Amino acid sequence: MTSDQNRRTFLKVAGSTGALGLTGLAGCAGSSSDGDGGGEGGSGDTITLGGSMSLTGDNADLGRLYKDSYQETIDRINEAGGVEAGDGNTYELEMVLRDDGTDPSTSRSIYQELIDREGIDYLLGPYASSVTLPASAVAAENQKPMVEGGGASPEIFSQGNEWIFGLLPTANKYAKSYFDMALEQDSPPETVAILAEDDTFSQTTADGAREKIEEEGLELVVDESFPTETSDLSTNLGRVRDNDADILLLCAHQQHNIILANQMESQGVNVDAAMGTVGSLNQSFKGEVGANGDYIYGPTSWDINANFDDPVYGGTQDFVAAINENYGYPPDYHSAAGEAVILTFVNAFESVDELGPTAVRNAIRDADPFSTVYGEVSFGDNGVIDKDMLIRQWQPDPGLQTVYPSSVAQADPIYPMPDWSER
Amino acid sequence: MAIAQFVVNGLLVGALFAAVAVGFALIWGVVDIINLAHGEMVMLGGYTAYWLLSIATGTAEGSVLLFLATLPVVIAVLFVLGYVLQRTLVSRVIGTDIFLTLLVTFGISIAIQQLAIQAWTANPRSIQVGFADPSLIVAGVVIPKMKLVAFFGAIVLTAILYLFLQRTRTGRAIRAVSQNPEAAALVGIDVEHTRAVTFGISSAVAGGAGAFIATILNIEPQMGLIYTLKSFVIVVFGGVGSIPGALTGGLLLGVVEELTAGLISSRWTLAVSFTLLIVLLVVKPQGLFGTGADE
Amino acid sequence: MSTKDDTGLLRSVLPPERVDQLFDLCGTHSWKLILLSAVIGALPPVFGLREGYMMTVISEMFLFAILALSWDIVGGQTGYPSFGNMAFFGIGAYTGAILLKDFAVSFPLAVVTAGVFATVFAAIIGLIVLRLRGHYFAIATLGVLLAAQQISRNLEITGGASGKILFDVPPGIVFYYFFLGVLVAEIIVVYYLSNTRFGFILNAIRDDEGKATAMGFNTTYYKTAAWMLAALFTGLAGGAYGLFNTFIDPQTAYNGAWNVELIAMALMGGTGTVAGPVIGAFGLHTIIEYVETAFVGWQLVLLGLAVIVTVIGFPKGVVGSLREYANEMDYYERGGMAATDGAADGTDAATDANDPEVTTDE
Repeated sequence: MTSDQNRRTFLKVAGSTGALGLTGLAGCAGSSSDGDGGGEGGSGDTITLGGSMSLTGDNADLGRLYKDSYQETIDRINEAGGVEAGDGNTYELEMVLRDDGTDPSTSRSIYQELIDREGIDYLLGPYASSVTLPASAVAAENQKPMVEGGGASPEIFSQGNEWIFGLLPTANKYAKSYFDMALEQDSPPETVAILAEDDTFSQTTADGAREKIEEEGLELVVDESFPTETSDLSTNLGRVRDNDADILLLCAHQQHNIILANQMESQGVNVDAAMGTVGSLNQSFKGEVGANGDYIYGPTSWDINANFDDPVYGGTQDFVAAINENYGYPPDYHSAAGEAVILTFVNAFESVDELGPTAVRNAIRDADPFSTVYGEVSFGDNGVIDKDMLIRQWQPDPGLQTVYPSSVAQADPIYPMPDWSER
Repeated sequence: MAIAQFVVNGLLVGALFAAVAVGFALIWGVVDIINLAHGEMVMLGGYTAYWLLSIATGTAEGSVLLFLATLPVVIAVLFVLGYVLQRTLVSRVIGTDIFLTLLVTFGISIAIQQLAIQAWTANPRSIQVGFADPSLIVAGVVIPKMKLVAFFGAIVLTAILYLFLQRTRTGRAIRAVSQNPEAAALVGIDVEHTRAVTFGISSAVAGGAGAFIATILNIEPQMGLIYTLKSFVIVVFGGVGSIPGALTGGLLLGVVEELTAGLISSRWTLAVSFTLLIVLLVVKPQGLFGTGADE
Repeated sequence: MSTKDDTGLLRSVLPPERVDQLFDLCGTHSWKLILLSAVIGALPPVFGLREGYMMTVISEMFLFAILALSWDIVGGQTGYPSFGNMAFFGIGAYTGAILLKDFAVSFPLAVVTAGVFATVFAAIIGLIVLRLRGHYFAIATLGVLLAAQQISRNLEITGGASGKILFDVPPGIVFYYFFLGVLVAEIIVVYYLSNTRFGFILNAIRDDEGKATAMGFNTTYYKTAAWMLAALFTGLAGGAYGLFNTFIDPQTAYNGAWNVELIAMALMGGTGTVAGPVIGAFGLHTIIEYVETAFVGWQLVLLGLAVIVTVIGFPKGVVGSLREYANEMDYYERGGMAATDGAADGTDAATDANDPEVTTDE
């Protein structure tokens, strides 16, 4: 009994000693083997951009848009001879992209690893606001500039963080243009229904919409949130029908847009207009819902038909063609924002006298507006691009059309959308 | 009238939850395994139907009959998968500590999820079944036709499973193994094979339900977890191993969730379900309907 | 599933009697060893560990070790496998974050309050769920976790789905020593208790609760106390986590995946021991960190396979398997039969050893 007890005791203690000791050693080894990282002196002839993305998980489809766009842009820059930086040297660009699976608890260590281990000075932001928040804190702690095209929560930019720059309009602006558009129509809406997924981003979008509704004196007749896991919206759509809402706003991602389109048809929900905030303009959305997706609106920060000059591709249409050709799908605003992320860095590299995180950060902050396939880029005091959303609509013929604002519209919105019985 | 609509919505979707949960209850009752990968069987069933239709029609659209024609294939594919999983992996932890069985099925679950993402991307998908007039209106209550088809499909799947267990030789063997594996072995039943068949049948029914889910809601690689969790609640409602209990539990859960969504707010549906789970476990662990030993 | 050849090779390099001697040696110096490991753990920052990444990774190792060891107090020592320990973590995390952000409470006070809240929560929930056993207990605890997550999503004070952002963060070294300190304290407490009547009764409950009750122990009291102890340490860790991660939301605070990870850690190291969960946490976290950078897009497949292989092949974990190996000496000394067979095959041994627990489902 005694010897048994001792043996048990030993294992308990020996294990913890060993384990604690081992990590201790690993820690020492880690800190001593690592130098001060690359980049700072510009000694090499490459500059590495690093970040994480949603390459797996719920948002892997969107993460891929950024990854492909980053890669294509960097490849093109390198093929054309690289970046001629302001310090007189020419650099090739490299990219290290990790996967965070859209998990906010991993992004902190991923970004620290990129900075400490990979010696990366210039950070590409992740996708989703919840992942971007901890990542942006790491950027600030380590004083490395981060440019992101995937986190749109205004919270990211209201922390006084001077190291983060965002290329998407903040989430509270996502729905505003939709209301502006509807109010310009012949029989403007009086009542609105909001259905919102209960994640950070969608809730912020809904908050922005509520403000706008109040401002415009519209009546909010349905205002419901639902858990992300919800797969059936019938009861909420029943509310929309029973309350005779004129227009419907769904603040949610692609999955719920698909359910919305299908269930509006099967439940016979007729409204004058319906918009889904994220994923409603993707080809894959339309592919899944077919004709049920007709007349649905979606916001975008970028118009695929625009023609902005771009130093890498030439212009927006060349970018669209390149992505189509090499990756087999048309780019959307996520892709274009990804391209602009890379160009924001390149533009800063070209304008600094000496490469370094602080100099590059200052250059990004103070840059004159410059043109990319995404449009004109310049950042406000809080680090966010000043941009409004455009509205596009799935029209039966010829398909997806930009309908608002009228300065860039390809077609007039089909408003009100026809009742299901008339289709 | 609004309440009638909520109840109908709940029953329509609840039948599908039930069809998912009966298999879950069956494995739990017969093999004494809580299969955390059960939701993945629903997902794989949905994808099997989706791809079959895509191959047949070019797009994942078709008539009701064409869709129903895919079901036998879905059921066969998922049966084989379930059988193999039990035979190769799960059988090795039967009779050990319960958290070991939970961990093994959890491992299977996350591996399948990520393999599905690698194979088919994370894009949500749905099967479009065309109807000239998509919904019926009965006394002011809207009933989408495809949901009605899925409702009856789910009930039929459950009924077939029940009859199979009651009427066939294999079914009797399954019940014998669930009651007393040692005695079953003594009378010449191949216990391992029977358990694997049980796993296969359970996966097949879940897969069939998944195919219906693909038509009225949507499918994506990570959809499984919520169906597994709902199965927990339903089985606790209905009693472990009880097919009629699971059916009733499923319908009830559907109604409770839609009533919560309709009368309170949809944001509280899951909170209500999970709280109910705890309360029921404590108050009536044998299920609402008798002893839970019907099978 | 080790074969004869494996053990043959191992036998020549490291004979069981040597392991046995090591056990005895360390058994007699246990407190010194704990002290030594605490000192070793405290050294890296002193010797110039400044890297944020290593600091974070090691801090996370300490954190997971705390969580895994806490799980093991109830899951391993007492035989109540909880799938809801992360509920304590979440309660702690939200308590800490709300106090820090909305009430400007100091960090130490916020963390202690977080631990207390989690403990009180555990006391209340424990009265309900600890009446259940086996599958029912596992599901009920999972239900607690999920319900807590849903409720936090819908409350005003928790920041709803948006969670809490804490940008004013102390340097990484604070968290490093905090998590290390909590871990060492927990090791001391659990190790001390495992050699007392309290620990003995917990193990008796695991082995046969009916018998433990028959022996006159108030098992409810002991189970609840163990459960609250687990909640205390988990809640303390959670209390600091919000600030450590600069951000919590319902998904991060009540992380169901972590709950399974920490069970896997305890299992891989060896449940029912003090060293096992700690070793498992350090080992598995290192592997996960590596796999996440090296096999992008396949990490869950690999993690899933790792869990399956461990559960099927080595259900006793590192420490349990080693102990069995060392115990061979006893069989030899007693002239025992089938000494090699019994210890070489982990699966059989585990099945035998765990049999009594299987039958306890009601």
